[in-house]
Amino acid sequence: MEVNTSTSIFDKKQAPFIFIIPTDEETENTEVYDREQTPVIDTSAFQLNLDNIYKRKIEDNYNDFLKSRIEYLESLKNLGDNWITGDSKQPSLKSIEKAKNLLDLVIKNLIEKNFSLPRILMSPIPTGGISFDLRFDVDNSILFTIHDDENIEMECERDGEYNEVVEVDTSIISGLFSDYLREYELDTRWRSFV
Amino acid sequence: MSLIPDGEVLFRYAKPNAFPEGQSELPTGIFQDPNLSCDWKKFRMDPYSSFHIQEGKSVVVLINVCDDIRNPKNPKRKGEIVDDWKQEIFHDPITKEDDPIHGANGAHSLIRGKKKKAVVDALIANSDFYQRT
Repeated sequence: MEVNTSTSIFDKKQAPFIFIIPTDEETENTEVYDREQTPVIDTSAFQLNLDNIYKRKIEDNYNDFLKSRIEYLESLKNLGDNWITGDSKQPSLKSIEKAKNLLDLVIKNLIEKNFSLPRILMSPIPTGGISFDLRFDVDNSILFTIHDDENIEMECERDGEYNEVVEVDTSIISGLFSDYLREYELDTRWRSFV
Repeated sequence: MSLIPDGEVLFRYAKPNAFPEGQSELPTGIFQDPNLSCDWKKFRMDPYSSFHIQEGKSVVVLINVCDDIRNPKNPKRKGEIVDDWKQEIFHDPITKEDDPIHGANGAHSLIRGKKKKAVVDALIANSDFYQRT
């Protein structure tokens, strides 16, 4: 019986897998040789390439989302009052600007921590202002409410349990938000073990 | 004040440009109103007969009245009822004198109480919406 000892990754019989072509930059200095001196590409370059593609994809998703929501927030300047049943006010210009900055901060935090884009649901609030709700899963979410008087409230839900409403300053939001993400990530990892 | 029992349906109306394009779920913000105004289906069988539709509020939200909205719990579903989050859901008809512009609205009702996240999440979980095209 003839045994095929080839280890070349180009041998389709031995290695039928999806082939991703790295860019020149990514494959630079990664050429190696197998036992038969056939040049092959180091698989670590593939992994690096996949990681980069994945990271770029996440960032593209975030950037597209952020762009569309900034445009949406801008459009609220023309919403007018009486946009929903009952007394309802158009968000103030200041609350719109504050919401844009807060959304930008939140998105940057998520990208930095390699989080996939959660569902982020936005709308004005009838009493004047804007809120957005980050929904990580059915029992974990964070609600930011930016009132017309520029106060910001942050309400967190962890495993279905709600925290007290916290009035927050933009200078501490990043820290509180990072803490939430870290705890959520640890819980998620823990759940995947048990 | 007559309380609205569980199982009843309330309508709320919003303008479509209040929401981001492509957002296919109910956002929290539309319920963050301590006096949440709506119409009781019992007195308005056809939601499109409301003056809100003529004013361009073509997104119709249907709220299914239930105990989860009336008495939100912490943690949700399985915890204890939080007194501060309780909601009063009652019929509050409007007379012609109350609203000379739109006239009387015999279906008008209110969901009264602080709208903390737990309350709003209960409202979202028990609501649906559609848009008139």
